[in-house]
Amino acid sequence: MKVWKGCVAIALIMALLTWNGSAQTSQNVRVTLVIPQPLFIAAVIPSITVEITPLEIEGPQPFKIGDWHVNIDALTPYRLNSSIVTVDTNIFDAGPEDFSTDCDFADDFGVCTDKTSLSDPDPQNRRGFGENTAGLNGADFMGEIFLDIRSWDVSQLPGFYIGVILFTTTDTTP
Amino acid sequence: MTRKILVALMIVASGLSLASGLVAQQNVTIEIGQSLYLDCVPPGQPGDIYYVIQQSDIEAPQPIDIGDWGCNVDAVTQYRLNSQFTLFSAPFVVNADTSDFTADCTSADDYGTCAPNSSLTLGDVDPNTRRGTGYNTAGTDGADFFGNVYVNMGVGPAGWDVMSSQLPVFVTGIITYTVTDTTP
Repeated sequence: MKVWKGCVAIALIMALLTWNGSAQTSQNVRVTLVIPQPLFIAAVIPSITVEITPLEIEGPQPFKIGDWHVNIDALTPYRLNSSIVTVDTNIFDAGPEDFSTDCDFADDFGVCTDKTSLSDPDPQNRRGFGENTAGLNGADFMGEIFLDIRSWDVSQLPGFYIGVILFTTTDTTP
Repeated sequence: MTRKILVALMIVASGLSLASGLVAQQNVTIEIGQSLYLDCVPPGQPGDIYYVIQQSDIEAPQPIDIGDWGCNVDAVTQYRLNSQFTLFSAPFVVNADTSDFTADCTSADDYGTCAPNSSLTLGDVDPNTRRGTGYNTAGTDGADFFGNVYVNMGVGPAGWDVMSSQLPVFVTGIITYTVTDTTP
């Protein structure tokens, strides 16, 4: 009887030792990366304020009213578009079609396009396109903004035009 | 001849002693069921890695640190410690694979030594995937190995291409740590 109890005790101890050891020579660790947003855009120049003087009226149309500059961080191929939206004006016939732009600089895998519209849909309002920018300080796109006032009819003074240029990035992954 | 006589005398003496109760025999059996134990989630150390890619990670120099790893090894033999991806899934990130991930070993104690290799690539082999080596740790709390896991998201046309239509996008995988007896 004692021998039998001893055997049971030894068996239990052996089982416990095996259990506690959780003996393993390999182990798995899970890795999870979450990417909530692969495109980031920031405008890096202040607003544009221009006062029209006789110089602009006499000058060749369109004339430059300012610069634009955006920076894009991307984990995907993308395109960059910009359009102007009229917020308020008291000038007859003034509208987005009077504004145009160009893109004359792009870096870090960014490429400029030659489109100039600020009022038509893509691809007419496309400023450029680019690729993954990981490890870089983001792709910089720069250009100028122009205005053509040949169609304007200013009847109230002071005449004004207020608009907002929206820059958008779009994932172009096929 | 003299030697044979001496051996015979010793056997006779031994028999006399046992018979007279002067000598007892005790059998000793030591069983070593396993010579290596691995615990890669030691108390106070990270286990799984969960990391959210932010804008600052895109701008940062690649690769970026996404988490730590730590393993504790109890050994009664020489060993090496390896780690690499054994499962990987990134269905919505074109160009992403396990070769974008690397690991280093920054600390090892109790006779453990870090290795300089960094590969975590699925299918790669030792010594590229070796994190360190070590020896018998009896009497110590086990050899602790620590390091970091990194990811490089590439750049340009060959870099990661995240599908914005599937946001948020997940990249998941399993890194398997193994210890192997290196006794020649």
